[in-house]
Amino acid sequence: MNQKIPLTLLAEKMASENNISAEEAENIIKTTFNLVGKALINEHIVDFPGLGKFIRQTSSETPIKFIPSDNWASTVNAPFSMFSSVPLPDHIDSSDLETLTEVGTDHLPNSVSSYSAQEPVIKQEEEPAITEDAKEELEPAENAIHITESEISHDEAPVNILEESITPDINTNVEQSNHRVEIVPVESIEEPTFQSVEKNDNFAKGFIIGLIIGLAIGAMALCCYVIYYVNSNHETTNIETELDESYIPEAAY
Amino acid sequence: MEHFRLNNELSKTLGISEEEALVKLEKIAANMAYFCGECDSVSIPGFGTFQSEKKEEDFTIDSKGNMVLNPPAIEVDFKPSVVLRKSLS
Repeated sequence: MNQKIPLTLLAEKMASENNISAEEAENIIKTTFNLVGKALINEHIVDFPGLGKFIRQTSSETPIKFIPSDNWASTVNAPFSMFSSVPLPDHIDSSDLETLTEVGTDHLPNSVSSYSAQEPVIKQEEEPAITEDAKEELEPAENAIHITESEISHDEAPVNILEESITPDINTNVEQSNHRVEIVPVESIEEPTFQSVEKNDNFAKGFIIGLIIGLAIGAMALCCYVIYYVNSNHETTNIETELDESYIPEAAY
Repeated sequence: MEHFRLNNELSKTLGISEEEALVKLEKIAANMAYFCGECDSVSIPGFGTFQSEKKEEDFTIDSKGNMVLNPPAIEVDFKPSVVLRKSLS
């Protein structure tokens, strides 16, 4: 990571994957980019298949702009392919974001960096619970089911998630009785991710308090050991030596 | 210059077929994607350096005014070498 890969290393990797010599691979790479460089002198745009486009610009700072192709960019970003852009709930203000950025992502394991990563987990956990609740609401015959499209907001992603999970049950039960399903706003689903930060804080506090209590108990035990065993042993040795010196002469008299 | 012409030029230079040249171009791109995916920079002497940089997650405001949390991503920037700059100027 963050290393500068020379041409020889790139050629060795290409050679090992294609069963050619490293010199041949290096020659191919050099020839290819020489052709691209020569083409950029005469052409405005050079399209490198599988890599992207090189666009010649007039500015002196960036005379060539590289635009990677979609496939190449997705290959490079493969480690982050599970993430996607997430619309934030309305109740999050810019002040909340400022506090999160001030704290930083290194100290909080469940902070903003893992916010988007946890959302798919929330989807998987919440979907069965919602469908079961919906089934329980649908089972009583007298409750009404009405689904109005105006109640389903297509703009908000969480509602779409609910819609996908509920629609099979709705389709089966709407024909049986005229029940009413209320689409609950799901903004509260995303709150546990921020609450988890507080949970971790509580866990850290409890851990530190427990550690301090343990250390205190250990220190007390050590003090007791020193007071009752070390000092007593030391005194007994002195008494024994004194007795040994003074006992025999009395018996002799 | 479209990619088929680059493919054609490479096939003429190396003395191989256009299909083989296209495969080699894609192999070069795939190997560069591997190193750039590791956040390494790939240096091509006489041409330039492909510098990859990890961009952390950030917040943007979309056209509707909603705040959007964008995931982290690796961005690759190309910096041409001095030789290429001089040849272009």
